[in-house]
Amino acid sequence: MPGRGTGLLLNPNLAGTSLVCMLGIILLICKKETFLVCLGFSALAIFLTFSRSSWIFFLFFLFIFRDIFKFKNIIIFSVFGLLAIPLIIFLFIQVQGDNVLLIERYIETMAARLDVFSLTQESTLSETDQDRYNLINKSLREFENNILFGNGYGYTSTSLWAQGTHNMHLRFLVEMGLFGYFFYFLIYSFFFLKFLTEKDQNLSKLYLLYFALLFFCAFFSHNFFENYTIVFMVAVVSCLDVIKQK
Amino acid sequence: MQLVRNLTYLFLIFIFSSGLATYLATIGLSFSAYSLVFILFIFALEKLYEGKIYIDGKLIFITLLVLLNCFYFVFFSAPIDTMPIFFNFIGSIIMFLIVYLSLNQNIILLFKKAFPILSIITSIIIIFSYINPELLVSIESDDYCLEEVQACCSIQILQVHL
Repeated sequence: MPGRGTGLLLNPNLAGTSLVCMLGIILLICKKETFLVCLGFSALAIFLTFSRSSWIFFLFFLFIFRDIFKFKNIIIFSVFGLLAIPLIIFLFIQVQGDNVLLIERYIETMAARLDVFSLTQESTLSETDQDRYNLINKSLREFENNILFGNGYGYTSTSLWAQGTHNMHLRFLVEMGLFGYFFYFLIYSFFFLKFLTEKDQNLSKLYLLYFALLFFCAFFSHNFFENYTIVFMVAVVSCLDVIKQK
Repeated sequence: MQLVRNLTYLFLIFIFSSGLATYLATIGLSFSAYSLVFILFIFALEKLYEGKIYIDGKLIFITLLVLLNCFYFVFFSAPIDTMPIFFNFIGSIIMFLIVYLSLNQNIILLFKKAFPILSIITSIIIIFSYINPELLVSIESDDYCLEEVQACCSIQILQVHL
């Protein structure tokens, strides 16, 4: 995908989100120094995905684990700041096969993704945002067709839906109705209940992070359960309590 | 058995969880989800042999979720081929069951080494895929998205209005 880093997942949203999920587990099980090294690499990668939901998710992650960023860690971040200099220089290299510099593409993508001008001038709303707005309206209309049991398994993968719903909640509601959505509700409620009841603070925060993934990030992506990376992380975190019981 | 478990997890982490399986599928090399069935079968056999299967609400919930999907798949499918979607879901459930049956403290020790390495490798690949968009998929591929075209359109609309 040009203009956005995708990695092997070939999807910027999933790439960014799964990196944040991975950072949560690393923070819980590894030493702080190891975590900070991973954070240094991941922060830049998440930024380059230009996925707004991943950015918000990453900021949420930094907020809930803010107590680990003490003064001595700032020194480590400074070292990573120095490492950013060659990367900044690299941005002035001409893109392979195109007649633009990397920095030009970066500014274009950034302006399109943030889309700040549409706040004052609706006519400048980017196609992506307009599509999402239309998708929400369309999903709600389709949901009303059969509120209890939905429109059928795989309905949002038909040719009527070129981009899916871009929303896990709406996907369940449109395909399986309130009956199917109840099961999705149980999945994210599990993490929220664990967050409220877990005594270990770090583990409790990790549950909160995964609740945020399945509740808030789910408003921006519809394919969490089709992706083994996210499924694996969710499975590991949800089974952490099983280890204690075994 | 612990060695088998560790090797299995390394396979799961670096093939399925890293996205390598997704990428290889785009170039015609697919890792079949049947390998997951085989892994689950081994772990289930081990648990049956030990006679120590831990059952909690999660296992009951997953069973209900499978039944729900089977019900919708059989009786309430959209008018398209929903078989790939269903198999994808079953693959995810098998992945969960593997973790549920086999996760232990030794695996967490393995994660301590594997996850930092995976996150750094993933980050580097993301950075390089940004620098060179054709690094992983060619421009002719269906996986090469038109996001940049959308971005350029947005900029042009912006310039017109300014």
